[in-house]
Amino acid sequence: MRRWWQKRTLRFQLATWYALGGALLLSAFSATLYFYVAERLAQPLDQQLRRDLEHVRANLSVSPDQILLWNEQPLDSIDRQTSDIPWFEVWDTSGRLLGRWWQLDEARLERVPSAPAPSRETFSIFNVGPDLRIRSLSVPLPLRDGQTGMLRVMRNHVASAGALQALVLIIVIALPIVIALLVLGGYIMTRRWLRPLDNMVDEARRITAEDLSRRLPVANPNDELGQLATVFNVTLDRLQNSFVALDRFVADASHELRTPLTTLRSVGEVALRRSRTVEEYRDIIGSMLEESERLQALIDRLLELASAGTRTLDLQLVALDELAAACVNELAVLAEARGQTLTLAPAGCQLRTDPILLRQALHNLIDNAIKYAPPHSPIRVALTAAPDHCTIDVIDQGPGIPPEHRTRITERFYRIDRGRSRSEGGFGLGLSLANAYMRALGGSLEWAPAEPRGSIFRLRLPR
Amino acid sequence: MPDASGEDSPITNFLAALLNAHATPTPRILVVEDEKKTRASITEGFQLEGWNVLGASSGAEAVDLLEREAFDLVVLDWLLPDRDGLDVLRHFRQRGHQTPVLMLTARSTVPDRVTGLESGADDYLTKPFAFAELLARSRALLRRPVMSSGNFLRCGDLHLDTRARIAVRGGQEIALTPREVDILEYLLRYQGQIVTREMLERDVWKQSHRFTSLDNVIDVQIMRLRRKVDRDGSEKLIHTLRGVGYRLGREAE
Repeated sequence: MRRWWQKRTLRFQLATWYALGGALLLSAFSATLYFYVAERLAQPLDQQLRRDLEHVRANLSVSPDQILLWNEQPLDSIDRQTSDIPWFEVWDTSGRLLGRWWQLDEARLERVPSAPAPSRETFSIFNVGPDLRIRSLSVPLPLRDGQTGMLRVMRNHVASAGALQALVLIIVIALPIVIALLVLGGYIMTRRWLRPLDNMVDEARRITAEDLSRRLPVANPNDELGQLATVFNVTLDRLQNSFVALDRFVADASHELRTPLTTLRSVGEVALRRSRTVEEYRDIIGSMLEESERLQALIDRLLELASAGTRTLDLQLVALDELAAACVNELAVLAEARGQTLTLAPAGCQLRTDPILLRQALHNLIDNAIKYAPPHSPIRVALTAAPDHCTIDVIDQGPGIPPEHRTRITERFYRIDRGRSRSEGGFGLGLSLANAYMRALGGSLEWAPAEPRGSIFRLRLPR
Repeated sequence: MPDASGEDSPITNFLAALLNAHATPTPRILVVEDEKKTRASITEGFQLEGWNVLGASSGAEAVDLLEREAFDLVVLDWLLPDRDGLDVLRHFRQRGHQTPVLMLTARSTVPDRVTGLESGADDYLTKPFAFAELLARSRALLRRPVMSSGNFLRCGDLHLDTRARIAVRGGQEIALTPREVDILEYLLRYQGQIVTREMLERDVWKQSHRFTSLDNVIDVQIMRLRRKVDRDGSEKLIHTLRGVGYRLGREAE
């Protein structure tokens, strides 16, 4: 059963719940309505019965020999057909009928009322014959010698009974129809509301890894389904971006890997075309080894980049000044070789981070600056400490980054000037590595133009 | 090993003779590696050192050879076609053999390293490696003098006092930065042997990870050191081997 239910569509399930809920609520409503109406219909009759009771009490008396007197006049002497005395009965303590006054022909009745149970004040209904119902009010009646009998006033109940029957009929016939309409309406409405979902399902089926450009239709961006579709589309955007980046990465990586491999092969092949001196062979083998070193370095970087996000961090309290100074000292020789001055402006900032990753990130930035800034230009490494974060800026007077390249500088293998940087031994991975490290550390890598020219690469670390 | 040129003092000769007498005359080495070319080149490289080398291409063959013959060093590949190199190593150690084992592997993560060393390997080298480094580590495991020891190092007319950190060439003191002294000391201790950039990076720069290459820093440092040590007119001592590394020695081989 459970399995069967779970196989049904959402539409079917919702319509069924509508039907069940509707039937339950309507049944409860009908029952309440019936009892309420019955009560209200009986109220005028009951008030009449009370007036009758007052009337009877005012005029009725019982003689010592238990003869009923109406205005001191024996009841039997009054003409039943013309008098306006209300219907009533008087019973004595032992449940014996002392007298009954009504205009009904007792011979035609199926049964007559029996003695009321002794009690304070009781309304009751009983059938005395076909289509003839009596509503009565019984009260205690003091008799002589301190005994208490019962007085019961009565009225015909016919009219209200008919109205109630009609109500029951209406309920019995209308209830199933209303419930059926409810189910149908519920089904149609659900279908209507869920149609955007069907469209989304159809559209989502067409979205594959090959065709990520499709997006889900957003009928109404404000309702829940619209929000779902919007969120889904944002996810698809990200997915598409990463697929595009992956495609480009694969293309770039295969190109970058092929370059040293091609050199390796051609150098080897050409070397074998004729015999050479030992010195020439040494030179050729050395050149091939250089290319294989380059290949290995590239593979190391790629593996590093692929695992940067999954590395477990070794968090320690790090004095950024010391870390930056170590980095600057290490790379100072490179700057010196190009006639550049590499200076450090400390700021006294300490925070918990992974010193190895941070140092790698900074190393890559400074290395980059040395590579791309012109010879004999200054490169500054400046630290700042804010209450919630610390920054390390690497400021050069290089060519800067043209606006169209700014969003792509952290992409793998991305180089503004492809030919130039390769000749300088770069892979175009430095900034993407720095970026990957900073993300692993919960920080960020930002770029800003420097005045009057050049770049500011900023490592921002949360405190 | 220190070269045995005529300029060596009698004391050095005596010490070298003493060391040689103490060590096994020709060490026997087993190279377990399934890749034929790699095995052949390691074998040849070791033979050039005058060592006696046997090759095995599978775990079963290695276990068989280790049962029957005695070796001074085993170079063991982790990934073998029939049997895990680690398995061979455990089996070998369980039988009580103490022979040093150097593991070769393409895996480089720290847990792999730990697993390798815990199973009884004495050293660990990640592929691809420089043969110079394999040689240096093999020498260390064979307890052959890998490097010169002592506070006074010398090569030709170049002297280095490692305590005072003073370098003298041809009677003239050379002004060196602390880093340059470190590099020179390392090259002098390994004199005659090839020193790769990886070795310098690990032992002089103390960086065990290979995230970001220091290759260009090392190249520039060596260039500066060479400019100070090998002045015009003096004999060239620091040699560059393209694509391999550096060697400090008296004659270019």
